[in-house]
Amino acid sequence: MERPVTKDPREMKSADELLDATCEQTDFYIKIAALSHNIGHQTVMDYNADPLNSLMLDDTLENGNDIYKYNKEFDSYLNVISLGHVNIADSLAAIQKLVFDEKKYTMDELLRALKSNWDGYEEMRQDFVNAPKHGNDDDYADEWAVKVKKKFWETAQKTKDAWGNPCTFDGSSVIAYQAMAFGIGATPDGRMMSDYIADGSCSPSAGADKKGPTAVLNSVGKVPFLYTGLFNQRFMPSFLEGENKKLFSEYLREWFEKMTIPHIQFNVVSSETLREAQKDPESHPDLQVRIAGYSAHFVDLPKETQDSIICRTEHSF
Amino acid sequence: MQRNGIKMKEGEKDLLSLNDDRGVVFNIQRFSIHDGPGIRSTVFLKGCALNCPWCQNPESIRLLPEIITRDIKCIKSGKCADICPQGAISLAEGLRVIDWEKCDYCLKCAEVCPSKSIEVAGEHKSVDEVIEEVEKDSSYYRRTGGGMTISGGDPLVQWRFTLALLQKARQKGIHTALDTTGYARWEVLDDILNYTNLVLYDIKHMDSAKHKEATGVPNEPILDNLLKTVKKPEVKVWIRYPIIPGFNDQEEELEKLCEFVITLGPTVEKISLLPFHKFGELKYTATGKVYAYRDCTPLSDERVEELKGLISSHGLHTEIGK
Ligand code: SF4
Ligand code: SF4
Repeated sequence: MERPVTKDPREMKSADELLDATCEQTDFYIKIAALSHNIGHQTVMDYNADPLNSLMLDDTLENGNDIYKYNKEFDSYLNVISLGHVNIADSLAAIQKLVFDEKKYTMDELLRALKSNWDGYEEMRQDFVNAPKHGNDDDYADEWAVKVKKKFWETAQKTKDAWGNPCTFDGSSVIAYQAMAFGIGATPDGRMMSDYIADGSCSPSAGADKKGPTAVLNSVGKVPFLYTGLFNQRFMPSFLEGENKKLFSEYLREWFEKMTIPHIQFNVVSSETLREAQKDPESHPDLQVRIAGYSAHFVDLPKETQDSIICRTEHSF
Repeated sequence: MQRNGIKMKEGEKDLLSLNDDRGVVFNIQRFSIHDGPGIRSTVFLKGCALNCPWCQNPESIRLLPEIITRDIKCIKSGKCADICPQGAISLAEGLRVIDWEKCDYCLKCAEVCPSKSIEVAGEHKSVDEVIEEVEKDSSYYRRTGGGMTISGGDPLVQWRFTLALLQKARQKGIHTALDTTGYARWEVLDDILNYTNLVLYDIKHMDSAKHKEATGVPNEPILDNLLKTVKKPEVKVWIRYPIIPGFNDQEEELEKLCEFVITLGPTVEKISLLPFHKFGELKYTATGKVYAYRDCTPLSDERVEELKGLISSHGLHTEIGK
């Protein structure tokens, strides 16, 4: 197998072309993974029958099938863990806007900036950071999230497992967004080399969502459910106190009825997170504090006020 | 006029009503859960006829757009200093420093700042633009009895725009709330209330002279308007009373408040006490204003509970707002 040669990005006319090329390259790597996986599977089928586990399934006994030869209810034996699709979507949105629509930067400049890990390109990086991002109920970025998800899905489906079932993606990447990030260079969404990528495979990038939980849910809900994914959302504890519990349950119902997100995980902002933000404001620029008739970023508050919020947070649990 | 370092341009007060299809909006906060029932979107309009020194949104008082800064975001590009026509920006060890006396709010620095360290507070938006954003959360409003709240500043400053927003929301079946000081001609408020389901009505002090000393305006028009507001059976009223230490937190003051509220009748559903906090402090420096309440200590939770108890003892429904 040979790695495909795709077009030089400098000759591309749109971010769509870039997405197509990315998928073509991805297809190649999926095929390599599939090859080794299918050989492995075939070997296990031939030499490593597993009667104990086979008993756990419904009709293995009747049909005389080993669990590894079982080909019924599963979509596929070939499951590729996917990661970073949200970063890809945000990157393409930024490229489409700044390179192709507004022509503020050339692809050549972008490539150089990325190679140098944005070093010496801070002003330019700010533009890419401030470009539309998935998670704000803004169609410009959300449409890219939809496209990326569909295209990658189509790409995966081109490869087949040993039974001829199309390959699937699996977005429940759990903590891999931290571990894998170390191998990933700077990205056009403004991310620096080795910074974490978006967690949970369909959650917005950390700090990219600026319009609150309903906007995040609306955004994520626009992306079709093609394969499993994990969605993390963070709340200040005040949303779960007293009367507000009712609102929270309605919020959950909305998610459940309208949205197609298979797995949602709520984190309540802890006093530790707030302390961390107090010490290191730059890594938590967008932590929101919400009070009647007022909203602000936590890190913008004077120390003494921050302390009182931390104190409150501790008291509510 | 200059109080707290808030500069009004000549004739700014005459722009008060602007027009009915474009207003100056400084934030649309979705997922508001403290400005009326349910999950809401709060539309913050610029401009206030009062000028309270404890204001938590100092960037809201001036009607026209202004700049707001965030030092931690500055990447020291120097672009703002280069472009400022007033020579109001200088660079001290790379970080820009603004001479607010010189600034005339031309907004050019915000346009060129690459990192949003200087941003514009207040954007001209049309009724349709605002409603489009508000409608995005309609399904949450329906589920939770929420809707749109117009806040500020005081929405009665840009009253034509407020009226148009409320009318449009009504048309779309969105529940409407108005967070207001109540300071306006009755005819204006009267008209607006025809399209309002709930008013969050501020009372700051029962004594007019004290009220004027602190806020710049007397309280008679406010209380008169409230007396008329409660005659409208279809408009619910929540009284909001900010408890400001040393200004209106004395027991006698709360007694006077209760005496008055008791006469208002059943459309008043509750009194929300809003304890003074200093969350707005950095926004004063960020917008070049002076914060007179810097050294004021917020009341203890126990004291706030005590004051709440005092109001409840008059048989009035009350809560501590957040
Ligand atoms: S333009 Fe922005 S980033 Fe550059 S010095 Fe001014 S405030 Fe800082
Ligand atoms: S807004 Fe003020 S500081 Fe900024 S460029 Fe204009 S005059 Fe200068």
